[in-house]
Amino acid sequence: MCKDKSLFEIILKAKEGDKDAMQEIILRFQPLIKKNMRNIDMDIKDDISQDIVEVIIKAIKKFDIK
Amino acid sequence: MGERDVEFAFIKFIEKSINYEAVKAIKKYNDIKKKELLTLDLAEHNGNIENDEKIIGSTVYDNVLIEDEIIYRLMIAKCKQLLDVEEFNVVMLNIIQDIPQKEVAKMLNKSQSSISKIKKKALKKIKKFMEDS
Repeated sequence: MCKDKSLFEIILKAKEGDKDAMQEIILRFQPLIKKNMRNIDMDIKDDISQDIVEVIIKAIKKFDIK
Repeated sequence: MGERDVEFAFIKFIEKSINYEAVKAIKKYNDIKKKELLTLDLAEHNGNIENDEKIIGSTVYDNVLIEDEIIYRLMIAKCKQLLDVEEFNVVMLNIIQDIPQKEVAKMLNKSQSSISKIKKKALKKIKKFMEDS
């Protein structure tokens, strides 16, 4: 649904509370999460990436567009 | 600010939060792991988990249905009956508790390849049992 939209549009939508847009942002940042998870043990990888997704959601809410 | 500036600032902002959170989370989980390692060193367990009933008994199952609990216990009892002590330990640690083979090898003073062999053998036995029944 939000796939071919620009990041700016998605950010605006996500800030309004659109769940699809939020999901799309998390999907787009997935490679960065993976990069951070490179040197971590298998057994805690899922937990930490879950924490990070939570942080992304909080960060989207905190980020203000001037 | 133009659209591109906002996008750029957003990416930077998220990147910073992710990096910060990753470092924090790794530290947190490592601390937890150290604590758990200390409990594993108790004389009671001694690297082998023959007294698994004790471990299971001390775990609090709040939201697990009692049926699941019964099936789980039956499964473990059957495994214990079916497998050698060594194979049972490997199955319990590697498959049921999901500890990586390397760590299991360290715990049982064996090489990783031998753990892999034992696991394969044990799984074969279980498979045979399931096909027969």
